Amino acid sequence: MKTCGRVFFHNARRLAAHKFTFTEVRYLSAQPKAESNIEVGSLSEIQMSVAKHLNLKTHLPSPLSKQMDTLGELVTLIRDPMMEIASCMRVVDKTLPALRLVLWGAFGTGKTVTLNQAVHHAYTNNWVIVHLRSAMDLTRRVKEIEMSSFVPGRINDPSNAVAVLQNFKQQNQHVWKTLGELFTERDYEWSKSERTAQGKPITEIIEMGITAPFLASDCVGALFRELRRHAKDGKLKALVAVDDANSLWGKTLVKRADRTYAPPSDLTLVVHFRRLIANDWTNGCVLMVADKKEVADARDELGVSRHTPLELFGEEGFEFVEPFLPIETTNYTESETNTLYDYYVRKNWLASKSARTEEGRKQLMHLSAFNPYYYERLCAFN
Amino acid sequence: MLRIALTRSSRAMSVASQASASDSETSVRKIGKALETYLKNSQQHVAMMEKHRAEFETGRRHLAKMMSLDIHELDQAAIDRAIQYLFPSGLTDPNARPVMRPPDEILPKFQRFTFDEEGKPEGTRFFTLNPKIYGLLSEIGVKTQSVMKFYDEHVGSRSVNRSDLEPANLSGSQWITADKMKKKLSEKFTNELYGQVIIAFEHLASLPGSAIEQKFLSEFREPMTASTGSKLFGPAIPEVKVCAETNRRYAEVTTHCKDTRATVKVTDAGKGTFNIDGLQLHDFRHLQAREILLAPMIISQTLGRFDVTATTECISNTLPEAPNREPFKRSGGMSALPRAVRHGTALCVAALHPESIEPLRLSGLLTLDPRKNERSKVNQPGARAKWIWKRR
Repeated sequence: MKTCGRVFFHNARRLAAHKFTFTEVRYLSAQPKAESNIEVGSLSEIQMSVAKHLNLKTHLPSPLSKQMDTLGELVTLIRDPMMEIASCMRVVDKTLPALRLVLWGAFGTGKTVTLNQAVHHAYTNNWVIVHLRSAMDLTRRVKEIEMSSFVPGRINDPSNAVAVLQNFKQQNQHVWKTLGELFTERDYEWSKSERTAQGKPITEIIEMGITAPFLASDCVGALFRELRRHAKDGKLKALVAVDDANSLWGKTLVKRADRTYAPPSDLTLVVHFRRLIANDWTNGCVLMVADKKEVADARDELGVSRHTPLELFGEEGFEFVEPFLPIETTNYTESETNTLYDYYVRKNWLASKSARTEEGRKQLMHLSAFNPYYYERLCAFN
Repeated sequence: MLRIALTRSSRAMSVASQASASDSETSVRKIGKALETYLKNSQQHVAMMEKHRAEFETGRRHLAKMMSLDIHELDQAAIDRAIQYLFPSGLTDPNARPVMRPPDEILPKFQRFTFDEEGKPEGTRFFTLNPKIYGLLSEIGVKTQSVMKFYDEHVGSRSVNRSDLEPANLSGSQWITADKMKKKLSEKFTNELYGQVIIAFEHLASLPGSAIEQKFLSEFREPMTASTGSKLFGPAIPEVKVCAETNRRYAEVTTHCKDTRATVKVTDAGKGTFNIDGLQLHDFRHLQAREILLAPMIISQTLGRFDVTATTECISNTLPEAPNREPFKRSGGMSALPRAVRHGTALCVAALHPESIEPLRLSGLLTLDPRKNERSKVNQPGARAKWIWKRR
């Protein structure tokens, strides 16, 4: 399996190199309707109803979700990494192992926004979406813990598990009917009283987890297991989008009984997500973001840390995700800033007189150093 | 009678100092009061200068002894050094500092009339009462004539340099003031005369072809006080060089701010990229830092035209550390490092884009910021802070 993955990794690289010709060809033949609004360097709008359905307000970076509230619409720029992801998602097949993509790049270059665009792309193609806002939530924002009854030594995280299930339910309403027609493979005995019999729809697992938080962590595992199996059978296509995925191999703030920090491999949810990332299943795409917030010191205002996947995933994590396709996000080009500048002027988001002059346009561009995050911040105050 | 007396007395004056007292006494009685005073003053001045010269020589010998130097080694530069060493002065005005120079250089000069063999005053302008200034006026007149003639002869011909047929280039300078001109000519004259001289100069300078008299004109000009020239505090605007490989213009300068020393190279015809110790502009995550770095380009309105390459180091890192201390690695901070780079960038931009020198200077970017971290004091927790006083 691993060699197969490696071969595919190289193929995908080659695909990425020729992505433009490739996309155009596949565009017209495969799914013209769903992808007709994707064009590199153009602005694309995500309907507010869809954004609400996909719960993008919590998944997007906070400045962008605030801007979404203010302007009353969600308009993002389609950039090269998104095109690359779209072309990779197009080749996903029952015969190919789950395709792993790692988005990496400097701070503020649009990793999370690209991830959300990919989720929207999956939504338009009727894929099943497993979207995690931040893997750091699982390791560092654990409010309450329970020891697992299923595997000794594992630590369950009921609140996060319920959140994962609820989010899954909300984001997959477009395929909910399909999920309801997929059945469980075996009996699941959650506790002495609760069980899910073989042949029940897998949506029941989700409902079970949401209503009984102490079972939620195990339900997440079962759900992912069923999803992988049905994907292999070709009943569905799944997109697993994990933000800050390198935190799955980072450090945790969960304390065990002996007051030592538990390694991430002891956390049930982390283990379940790692199994999704492992490409022993087919007909799916795993999209990960390597973010430096796991390793960087938030109080260090001057230091510039490395942001390449090897540094961020660490030896162990890198070996785990290894045959993958790296996709780098970069700063804007001049034409991209101009597109956004025109949009902001049109929306009166750039209100001051000086910002609307030619000199103002240049200054915004250079003061933000062409960085998308800085550019948005500057435009919000001018 | 009067004429004879004048002749005699002027003979006596033409030999000035050598005139013996007895010889002059007999003749002076017969001449006017004014000349009498003049002769007396002249003799007094000669005597005083003799005395001062002797004193200076004695002083020089003493000084040589004190500094244990040979008298021949003690030239004027050595005297200045010795005086600076023996009388250290913290006064800022150079005129207020102690000085030892030959009396001929520093004592006021005595204006001596010159007479010819027959005792007539030399030069016909003696009787104008302002011989020097009228001499200058007539010199200007002669030069005006020659310039006009030169222009008429050579206009249209290829035998002379074309730049010689232009008016003199006097930009960045002005005519010297009346006081300075009086000092230069060592003669007193009225403001009306000064005005006439300036009118004559202006006329000469406005003529086409006056470029050939550029040297003469510039003797009576001084640089304008407002021009930047060499007035900048800190490093001067560097020279523009051309890279042999890429054929792009560039300028390079080294400067510092607080403890950070920066060597900045700005290349023309670039894309507005930054490379500061391997960091790009977006690696400076504070807007303040990016604003500081881009300030010279914003002010000169050349955003996206220059590429900036800079290397920085900490000055105190290069200094020797006390032997019992670990060498402490410091680095420029959030604003000091960009400010050091900004000063270098502004100087280079001024060199590559001279139109922006004035706006850059007015916004203070060409001036070095000399402030330094104040040293902490012994027995105190900091530079100014004191330990809390406590009655035992």
